[in-house]
Formats: sequence, C-alpha cells, structure tokens
Amino acid sequence: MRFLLGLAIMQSLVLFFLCVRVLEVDSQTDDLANKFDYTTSALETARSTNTSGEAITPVHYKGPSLAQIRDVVKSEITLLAEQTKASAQSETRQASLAIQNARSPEEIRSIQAAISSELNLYIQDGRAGEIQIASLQSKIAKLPPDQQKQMLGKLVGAINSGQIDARL
Amino acid sequence: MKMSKTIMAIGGSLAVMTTAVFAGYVQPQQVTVDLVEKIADGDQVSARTADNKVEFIGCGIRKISDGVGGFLHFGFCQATDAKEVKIICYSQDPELLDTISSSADYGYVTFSWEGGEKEEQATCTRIGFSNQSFYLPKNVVGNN
Repeated sequence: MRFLLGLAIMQSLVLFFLCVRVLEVDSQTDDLANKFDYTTSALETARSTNTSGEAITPVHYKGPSLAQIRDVVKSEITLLAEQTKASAQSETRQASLAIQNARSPEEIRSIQAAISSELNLYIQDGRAGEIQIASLQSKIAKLPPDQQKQMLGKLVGAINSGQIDARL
Repeated sequence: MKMSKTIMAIGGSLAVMTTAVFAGYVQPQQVTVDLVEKIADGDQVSARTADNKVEFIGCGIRKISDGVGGFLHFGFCQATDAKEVKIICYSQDPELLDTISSSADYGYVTFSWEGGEKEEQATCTRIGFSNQSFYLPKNVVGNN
C-alpha cells in the first residue's frame, strides 16, 4: 500500500515537471513565430516600396576582374619599388656627400694638386698604363662628388684628345 | 670490304665538312666610331679577331673607395676602330650603370655620348648590349 502511494507521488511529480517543460517549449515557439512574422513583413514592405514594379532579382558582382586587380597591384608594386630605389640612391648620394664634405679644404686642395700633377706627367709622357690610371682614379675618388666629375672629365678628355694614350 | 670502308670514310668527312660549313647565321660587326654622329658600335669577337692591333670595344664599371666610407662609382664605354678613331665616354647615371652591369661576353656593344671634342669630357648618353648567337666566335664548343 505504501509502495503504491509513493509511486503515485512520484508519477505526480514527473507529470508536473513535464507540464513545466511543455509550457517552456510553447513559449519559445511563440518567440520564433514572432521573429519570423517580423522578417516576412519587412520583406513585404520592401517589395511594396519597389515602385518600378520590377521583380527583385539577385545583384551580380560587376567590379574589376581578377586580371584588372592583378594589374593594379602589379603597377603599385612597381611604383613602390622604383620609389624605394630612388630613395636609396638619393640617400647613398647624400651620405657620400656628407662624408666627402668631412674632408678639410686643405686635404682636398692637396689631393687636387696631386691629381693635376699626375695627369700632367702622363700628358708629358703621352701614355699611361692600367696601374697608373687606376692610381689616378683612386685619388679622384677622394674628392667631393662635383670635383670627381670634373677630374674624370679631364682624364677622359685627355685620352679622347690623344694627349694620353690610355684605356680605362 | 675495302670499298665499304672507303664509302664510310668519305661519308664521315662530308658530315664533318657540312658541320663546319653550316654553323648558323653570323653577323659580325666591326668596330666603328663616328665622331660626328657620336655613336660607336661593334661586337667584341670581331674586334678581338680583327686583323689589326688597335680595334676594340667595351664597357666597364669602377667602384672605388675613398677610404673614409664613400665611393667613386662610375661606368664607361670605350672603342677604337681600325682607323684608330677612338672615344671614351663615362657616366655616373645609376640607370646607365645598371645597363652596363647587364653586359656579357662576346656581345655587341653600342653607345652614344655628348661632348667629347678635344678637352671636353664625353658623357655617355646611350649604352646598349646585344648577346646573340650570331656574335659568338666559331670555336665555341657546342653542347651536343
């Protein structure tokens, strides 16, 4: 008898629990239905405001093609590389200029005198060998850039005019 | 037996001769230096194998340290033709220096300059190279 009474209580509790769960599920279902109704009505509103009356169709991508994008990227990279190269060259030139300016005017005058003397010697001899030309170039390297150019020009001019029989 | 050996020997000789005669298209270019147009050109093989001791053409680069961290960097092209007309031009232009770096053995060389009369400096304004089979010397060993 006691056993049957306990079983009845247990069944009642299980039934109560199940009822609670059913109510919860029911509530969730209502929420989902409400959300679905809202989405549907928004779509309907959009359709009704389409005054042209045309059917709404999916929009296809009409931007640049992959090849066009590649070309743009390639040209951008090329431009960047050129800018980097020009910048590096400019920096090298500036660094060289800064170093050259570090020499004292006396030192520069002394180097210039040595170059002129050597050049005149070769002009008197009428010729200069590879080692002599290399020695002259090493001295020219010690001058500031504008004077380097000037001295190289003198050397090349002396060879071209036949004053010095030499090759670089 | 003797007859067949003779035929084989003749055939072999003809094959060798044919190879020697047909060795591909050649286009030798002797060195020319035009001081009026200020253009020099020529291929290195023709210059090197010319029947005189003056003809040559080529370009080079020099990068010389100044001893305190800086460098003198310049390139040049020079040529003397068979009549001993000669020119040297030089340049410090980075683009032209890049071009000189792309030269190769046995190639055709062409360059132009501005200035260059008597004492004036000659500055390179155009430098070109062409490395093609028709400039190669005859005695280059084949790869087959």
